[in-house]
Amino acid sequence: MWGLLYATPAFALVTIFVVYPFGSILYHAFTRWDGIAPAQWVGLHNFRLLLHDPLFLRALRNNLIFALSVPVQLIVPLFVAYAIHRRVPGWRFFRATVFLPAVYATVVIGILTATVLQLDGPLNSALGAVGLDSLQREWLGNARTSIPIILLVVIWTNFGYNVLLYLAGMSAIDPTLEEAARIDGAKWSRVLRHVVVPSLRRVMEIVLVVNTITAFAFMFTYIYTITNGGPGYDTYVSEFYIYNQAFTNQNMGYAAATGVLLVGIVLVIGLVQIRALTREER
Amino acid sequence: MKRSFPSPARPRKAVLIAAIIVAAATTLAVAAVSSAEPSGTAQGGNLTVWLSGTYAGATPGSTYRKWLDGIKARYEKAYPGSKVKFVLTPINNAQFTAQIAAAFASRKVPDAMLVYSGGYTTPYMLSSLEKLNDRVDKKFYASQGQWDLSCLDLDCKGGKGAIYGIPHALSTYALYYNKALFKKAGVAKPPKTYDQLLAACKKFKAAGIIPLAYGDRDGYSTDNWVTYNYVSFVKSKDDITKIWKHQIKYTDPRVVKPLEDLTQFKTQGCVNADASTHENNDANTYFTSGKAAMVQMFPFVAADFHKALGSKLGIARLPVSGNGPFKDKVAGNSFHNWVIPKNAKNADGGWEFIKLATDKTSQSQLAKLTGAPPTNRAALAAITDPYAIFFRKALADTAIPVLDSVIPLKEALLYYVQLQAAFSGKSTPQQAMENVQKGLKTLNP
Amino acid sequence: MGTVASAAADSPAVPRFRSARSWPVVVALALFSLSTILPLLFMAATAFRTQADWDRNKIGLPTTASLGAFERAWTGANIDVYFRNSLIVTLGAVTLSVICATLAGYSFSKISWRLRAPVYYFVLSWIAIPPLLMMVPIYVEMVQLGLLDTYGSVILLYTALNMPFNVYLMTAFFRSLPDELIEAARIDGAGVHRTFLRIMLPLAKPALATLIIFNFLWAWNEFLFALLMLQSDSVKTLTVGVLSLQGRFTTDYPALMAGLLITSLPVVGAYLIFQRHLVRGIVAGTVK
Repeated sequence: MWGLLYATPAFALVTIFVVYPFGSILYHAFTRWDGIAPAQWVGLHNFRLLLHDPLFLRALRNNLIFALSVPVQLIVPLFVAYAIHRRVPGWRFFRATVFLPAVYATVVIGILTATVLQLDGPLNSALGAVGLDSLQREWLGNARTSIPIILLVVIWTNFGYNVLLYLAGMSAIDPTLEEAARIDGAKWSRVLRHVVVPSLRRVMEIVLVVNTITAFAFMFTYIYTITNGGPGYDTYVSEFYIYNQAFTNQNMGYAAATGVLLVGIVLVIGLVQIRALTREER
Repeated sequence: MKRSFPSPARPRKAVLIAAIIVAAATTLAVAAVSSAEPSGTAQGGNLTVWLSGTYAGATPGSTYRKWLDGIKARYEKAYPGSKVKFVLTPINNAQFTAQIAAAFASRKVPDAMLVYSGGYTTPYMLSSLEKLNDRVDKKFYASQGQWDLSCLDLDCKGGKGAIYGIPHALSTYALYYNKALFKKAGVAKPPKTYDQLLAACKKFKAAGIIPLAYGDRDGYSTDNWVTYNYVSFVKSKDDITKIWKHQIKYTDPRVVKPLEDLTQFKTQGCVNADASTHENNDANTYFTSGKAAMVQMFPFVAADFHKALGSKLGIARLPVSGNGPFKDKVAGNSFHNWVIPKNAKNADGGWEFIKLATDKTSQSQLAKLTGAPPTNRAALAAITDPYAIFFRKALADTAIPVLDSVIPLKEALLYYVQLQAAFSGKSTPQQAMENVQKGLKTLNP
Repeated sequence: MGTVASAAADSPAVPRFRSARSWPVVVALALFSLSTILPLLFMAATAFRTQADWDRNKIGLPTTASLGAFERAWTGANIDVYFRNSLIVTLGAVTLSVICATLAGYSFSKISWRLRAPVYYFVLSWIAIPPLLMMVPIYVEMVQLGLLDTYGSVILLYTALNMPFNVYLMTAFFRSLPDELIEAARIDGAGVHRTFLRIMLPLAKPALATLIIFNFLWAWNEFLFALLMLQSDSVKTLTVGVLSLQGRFTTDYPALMAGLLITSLPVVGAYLIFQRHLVRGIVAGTVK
């Protein structure tokens, strides 16, 4: 009985502020609603419109482009983690600083990026100072440069998180296995490939899924502060579309449907990825 | 238990109780009397005023703020003890709309708001604003100009239409130009048509001068040029209303051709290289620093431009490219509007503030500080600033409203993005307008 | 998984990488580490410069170290108010989280009651809700509850959003404490509450440290919901407030950097001090 009581505050908070809104959005995805007047049931209308909505499809495509960060986040942190795991000189320092990018608020990083890359900003000044005037440009005014830049920022920020995950996974490996391989004269790359990586299957699954979800569902702050979706719609992502539909256009029902569809897509991708990895295990 | 004897305190207690009752009764009576009068009538009262649109940048010390502080001082003098608080709303449009929506939904609304005209024509907004017909008497109506954009249907019908906003100032777009640079390049007169501008453009380029300063990062430059150019393409004065009501499509030649003509400015190199990525107001520095010969702008920068260029500054009507019946006329708007949200705590005080902001004194001050033509007719007649007089003459010829001061904000935002894409060459004008037309469906799903 | 998590902190003897071939790796890592500190350096360098300095050259050290930017940000741009708000919101959310999660963690691990398992898994199952899904309904709910534009909205929301993770952490931790302690306490006559307060809680310090630092970081840096919920200057937090330092036409960059620095220093400081606990928490949460 006391058990129930002790668990109640947590349970109540989750129910009121997570479960209820979740139910609300599932319901309102099938309505036309401005957030204030009573919602009007429209069935699958929103979803039908979404599947042909050029802006939503554009946003989704941009999310896919940003998912290009995933292969990078899968491979590079692995090497970094291994270096730290093998105690390269300075490993403690590296382990401490590798997570630092995630400690800054995303807003801060975004504003800094926008500031440094503006037309008459520090980066262009620096290029000019070393005689590379020809490289000066409006970095955020062109999709060809703004998209890679955002990719770089997202990768940089989340890099440490992946390194720590890999590190944790590596620490769970029986050290005698590694020792044995080393005694056999194996190069570090062979040890990595044949001893370490096979044991990291589960961790790699997690890294894969988490970073994919980031590309689809955690891009808002970066986009909002760095490019505001522009130029035009070149960096417009799905969350941004939801935000604008909900709060600029007051189309809350439609925004709800977009959110539900997006989460559905993310779930499917995640399941497919896990399936693919677990099948490989066999 | 000790027995308490009747103490001398008891008579004093009775007096005390009686005093309390009398005090309470008096307080209640006073409260009743003072609450019988609606708070604020002829009494001022504290005010919260939200500033948006161009005024979202009215930071302390800026010209706009100086003007507003002047009104605040008059209000606080007229109603001693009352304080006016200005709140700058977010510059980001989505954040701004979210804030407005949140305020209306939670009823924490200001007592008066200054909004860019197109910012309140959605049904959503209108249903949250107080209809002002009861406050606007004949005298007040007659004292202001440029009403038609402040009423539903863009036709105030002499004051009988539904009035939701009070005009704030008059505005249109003009061509500011640098006389010295014109002389240097051998261009005799400011261009009146796009063809003349393109011809002059060659001469400027030969002389190493940027012909036209242009800041289209948000699509605003293209928007200003195009919405003005519509005046030379429309067939009747309510064509803009028809576009607003979607009776004329965005893909109509009247809408696409002006944009097509404008893109030549870019393709023929008449604008600064970073035209499509430079912020609109910031691009003015090309002009004020003497690098560019011309720039299109509204009245409110006249004072600043004059400070930078002095007698070199010239002003002329904006060139057009069409041959419609109104090509010698002008597209104008009331720039911003004053509105009063429903459920405002001190709507009456808000109205007093608005009356002060639109009377002859404040409006003359506005003209003096910014060079903008006032909406107050008496102040408009009395202006002496040559730039304001230029605008007064131009605005007497207003034939149509500026499109984006009429369409709802969300539609305008879509429109701006497509205009920017068309000018920068990312899509053709036809495609851009098709995108707007197609996008209308998901603006109202 | 707790052992895995703490193992990330320091591994047992592992063959060290000392060959000459390791130097390129070290250099690469050093460059990356430098990049992580660069934001701080840039913010600090610019914040101490004057606007004239900045106008002249975008990169460079202050010619005369000036606190003007900090003053303009702190008093002129309301950073002092935003700082106070961030403090209130973050401490409020952390406190509420600690209380609820600790109580729940104890309940799910050391008290046996009928619906324990389903309720536990129910709470846990909400761990992966993306914020984008919550934007719209949370906003409307807060309006309906009258909580919009108040500290309460974000404090309650942050606590609720992190509850699954926090509960998992505390439950796992309490589970790792031996049952004999409870037995011993019961024999001594302690009831449920006293066991919790006198025995369990004092032992929970390491887990609490993780809980506090993780939630502190998360709440301090949170942006999206603060943007939606907190509209007035009087309640805005730093993450939302710094946006207002970006002017419409021109920006006072030293002041902006000062504002960003003020936003970053508390969390960077907290990270450097409580690094170990934070790492443990993050890893534990995902590897579950």
